[in-house]
Order: sequence, then structure tokens, then C-alpha cells
Amino acid sequence: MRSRELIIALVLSLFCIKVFAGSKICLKKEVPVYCEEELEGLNSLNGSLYYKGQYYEFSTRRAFSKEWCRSTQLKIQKIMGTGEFCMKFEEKLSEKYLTIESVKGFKSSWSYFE
Amino acid sequence: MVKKKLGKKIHKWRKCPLGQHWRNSSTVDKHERKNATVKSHYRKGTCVKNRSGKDTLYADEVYIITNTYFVKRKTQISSNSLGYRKGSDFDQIIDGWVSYWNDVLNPKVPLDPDFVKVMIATESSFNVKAKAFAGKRAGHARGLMQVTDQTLKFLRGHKTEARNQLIILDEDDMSDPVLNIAAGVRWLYRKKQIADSRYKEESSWLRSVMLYKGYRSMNHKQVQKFIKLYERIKSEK
Repeated sequence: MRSRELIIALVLSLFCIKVFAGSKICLKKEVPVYCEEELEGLNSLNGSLYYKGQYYEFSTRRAFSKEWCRSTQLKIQKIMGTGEFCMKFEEKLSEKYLTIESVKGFKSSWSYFE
Repeated sequence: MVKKKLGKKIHKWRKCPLGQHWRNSSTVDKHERKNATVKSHYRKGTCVKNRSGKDTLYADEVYIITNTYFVKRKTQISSNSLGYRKGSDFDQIIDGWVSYWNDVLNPKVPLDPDFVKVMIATESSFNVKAKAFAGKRAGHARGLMQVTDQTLKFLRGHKTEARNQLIILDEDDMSDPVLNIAAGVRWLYRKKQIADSRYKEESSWLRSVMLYKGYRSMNHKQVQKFIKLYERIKSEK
């Protein structure tokens, strides 16, 4: 019986690793997210956070238009302002610089990829 | 019958001479043309004159080149999957199209296929269906190399961005890895041309990547991530 449970746990954990290889951070307090001017009027969306005594910086994969950056920033800030939220990143937390993939709150969410 | 003298092909893999493009065989449905009814008939594959007169690639020929020449080709690309589940699935396609554009556009420093592989890792994590909203003007960024709707317009000849080498593809084509890579690599070359003229010297491919991604500083996190992955692929080769 015990070995059967162990096998199930192993299969489940393997499935979880396959589904999500990056990292997830859940927080209750807003973190700074800002737009920074880059090339030819494009803007990058960047941010930073402290998590379990570690400082991380994050950004999106690419810089897009100023309007895109501003509206994305507002969306993320709105989600963060409504209470507990979870942020997903492409990299594991062993990395210092992270690529933001999504922010999910109680009521709404934002995702880089549709 | 005297055969019309045809122009030279732009590359040995191309089916048609410069100024023409390949159209696959197909069945033409019954239709009206100049007040006459054209019966349903079979149309053989043939070279067709380009409207622009410029070198133009259409999806039909992109597939033919890929299927005919890339499958058994000896590649230079690293087999390193960079930790991504599908990280090595597109090696033949990347290597083939990088080789094609290197031959056609002939830069002083040829583009390294590993560079494109790292581009794909950082753009879409090798997800062919990746779709991101890039703003009102750019539209969506689609597929492996996250080619935007605006970029596709430029590649079709809009504002003469793509100069003499056009690619006629649409938004739906971008979820196809073959078409996406053919277009994305061509666009990276355009960024290289822009970087060369901006800095008035032969610019590095890294600068082209920065232009592609829109980042100004070499110190930006995403540029650093790109460099780190590229160094990794090269050190593990």
C-alpha cells in the first residue's frame, strides 16, 4: 500500500515539474512595477521584489510601445492592489533576474502570453 | 517555340528565377472571368511573375525548400536543448534558414544558428503557439520568434523595410515553425542592416538582437539573459 502511494506521489510530482518548470511567488503586498524608456519610443516593463530574504528583479521578454507598457503596468498594479496575488516567472528562483509570465489575483489576472 | 530567357536564381535552393515565385499545383474551382465561365480544372505547379519584381518568398516555396534541402543537411547548430522540453525540435529548420539567409544576404560576419536558437528560447520558450499582445500598432507577437503583425507587413514590402527580399506570409502562418523561423530570421537580418547604418560600421549580431527585442542597454536583464544562454550553449558544445 505504501509503495503504491509513493508511486502516485512520484508520478504527480513529475507531472507538476513538467507542467511548470519556472517559479511561483505569492505575496500580499504590492511590489514596484515600472516602465522604462528604451529604443525608438519603446518601453520595457520592469519590477523588483523581496522574497524570503532574497532580492529579485524581473522584466518582460520584450519592450513594446509606451501605451502597451503603461496599460500593462496599470493592470498588474490593479491586481496587486486587491489583496493576495501570485506571480509566475519563467526561471527558477536560483536566478536573480526573472522573466515575468503572469500575475494572478483573487478576481482578475494578467498574462504575458494570451 | 522560342523559350523566354529566364533570370538567374537568387539561391540554388530556389525554384524560380529572380522576379518570379513558385505556386504549387492546385484544383481551380469553377468561376466567372470576363463574362465567361471557367470550368473547374487542375493547375500545374509553376513559376509566377512577382507583382513587385523583387525577390519574393511565399509559403509554398518556404515549405518546398525546407522539405527538400533541410532534412538530411549536415547542421552546425548545437543539439543542446537549453533545458527546454522542445529545445531541439527545430534545429534543422533554424540551421537551414540561417544558412539560406547567410548565403542570400552575405554579411561579413555570418549569423550563427545557435544565436537564433537562444532567440527562440528567450522569445517564446520554444512554444509554437505563443501569442502576446504587443500593442495597438504592433498587433500581436506570434510563434517561436514572436513575429509581430506589424513586422509581417514590413516583410510583405510595406514602407520598403524589407528592401529586395520580401516574404509574403500572414498572421495565421506564424504558428507554423517553418514559416515563423523563415520570417523571424529574415527580420533579424533587417535589424542588422538598421544597426549597421545606425552605428556606421559592421555591427554585432547582439546589437541586432537588442533592436529586435527593443532594449537599449546591454545591461538590461533580458539582454543579459540572452548573453548567458548563448555563452552556455557555446561552452557546452
